[in-house]
Amino acid sequence: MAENLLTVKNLKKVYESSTGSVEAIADISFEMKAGELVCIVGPSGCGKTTLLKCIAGLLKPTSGEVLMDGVKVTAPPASMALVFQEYGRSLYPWLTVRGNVELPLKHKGLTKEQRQTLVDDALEAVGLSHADKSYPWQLSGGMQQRVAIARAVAYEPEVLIMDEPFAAVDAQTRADLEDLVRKLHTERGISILFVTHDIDESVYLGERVIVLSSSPTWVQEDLEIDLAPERDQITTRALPRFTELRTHVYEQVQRAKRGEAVRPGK
Amino acid sequence: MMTDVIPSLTRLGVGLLLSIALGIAAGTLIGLVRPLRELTEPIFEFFRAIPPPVMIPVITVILGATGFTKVVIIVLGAIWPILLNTIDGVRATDSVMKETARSFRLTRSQRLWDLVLPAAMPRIMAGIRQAMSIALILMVISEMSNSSSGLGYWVTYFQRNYLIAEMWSGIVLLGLVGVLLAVIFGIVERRMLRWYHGVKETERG
Repeated sequence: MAENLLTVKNLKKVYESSTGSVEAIADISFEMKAGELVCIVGPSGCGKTTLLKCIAGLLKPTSGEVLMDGVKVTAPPASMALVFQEYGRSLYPWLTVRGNVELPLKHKGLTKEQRQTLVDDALEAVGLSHADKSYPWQLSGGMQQRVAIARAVAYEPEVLIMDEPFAAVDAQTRADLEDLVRKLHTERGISILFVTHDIDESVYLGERVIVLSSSPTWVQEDLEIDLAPERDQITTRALPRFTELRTHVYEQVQRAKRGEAVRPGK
Repeated sequence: MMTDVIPSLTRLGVGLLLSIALGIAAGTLIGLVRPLRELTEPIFEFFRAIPPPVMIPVITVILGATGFTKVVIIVLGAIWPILLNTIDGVRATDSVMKETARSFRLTRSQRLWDLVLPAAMPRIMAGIRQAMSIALILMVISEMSNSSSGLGYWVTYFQRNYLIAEMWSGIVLLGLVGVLLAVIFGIVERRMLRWYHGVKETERG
């Protein structure tokens, strides 16, 4: 139990509304160990964001539970930090880059120097040391998302949760940001739970890929990605093994879309 | 007349500052607490619809013909755009920004000072801009009746005594006060909402 950082147990989420209830998540269970980089991939509209919000304590699951270090999550825990897809709405435009990164640290009981060090270190890690006095809206989309990542890193979480963080940036920026995530993971040993709809991205980044079915969602496959930890946009993506894994995940997602996969025990 | 300019302007300033302070404080509270909002909104719509000058005799009877009464009259007219805009602004805080605050466990006071108030500031500023012209009008009107001093009193006095040049000097002075207020407001607004104008500019590309 102790070795599992994050445990999701029989999570179910039903949205109640006046027009009837919609079952978004049927039954999701998985575990994540400390130091892992796990990607969650699934067809669009399969409840990825709902799952993430339940894990992060922003949304209450209908049944089932989420355990962080063995403790049930009922509100956002201090050991998690989120990176949202909508960087433009997640950063506060009235604060500078430094102000944004520093804000969540202000209630942590740190001294000014400690905060300063954490912020400098996080900005350096994402390559934005020179832009600390800029405002988010003065930066490009990719750089804004780096600020959001720096804010999460400075918060010193046990797990970094990323919700389709690169869906809104262009392809080249995206490749750079993917490598940044890999670097944070390998060099700093940060545990990352990364949600995406991009199959290539999930295989390139992940050590494990969890394929979700279409809604109502369950875990269709939990796949080990046996690629070397040092990954490179050109060589890794050219490996035959990468193509095999990619094709496999692609087929799984296609099956999920067509609703062909059958939920075990049902 | 010149000796009356300062008391007039003081009442205007005090009335405006009180409207801003009360409007933002009450507006933030009401904007954050949903039941309070539902309770107060229809009442506010009613009070806001009353043209403030009609309240002058009533309030003068209740509070007496003093300087304080004139400040109260200014506040009763000028507070509405600030109050209602603050409520709207506080309510409209972006959902992703709020989720960010929750997920990073920002404290109550951080959420207020670093999220809710800055996010509502463009609306609040728009309310203050409206409140300024209302306050100036009410300053003049409140001095036109039951008064023996102030800019409004003198302009009426000159009119009634056919002192046309003096009357115009009063009117020009009032115009200048209005311009001065707008200039001060412009400077403060540009400083406080630098980020807002920056965002707007980048959005326009």
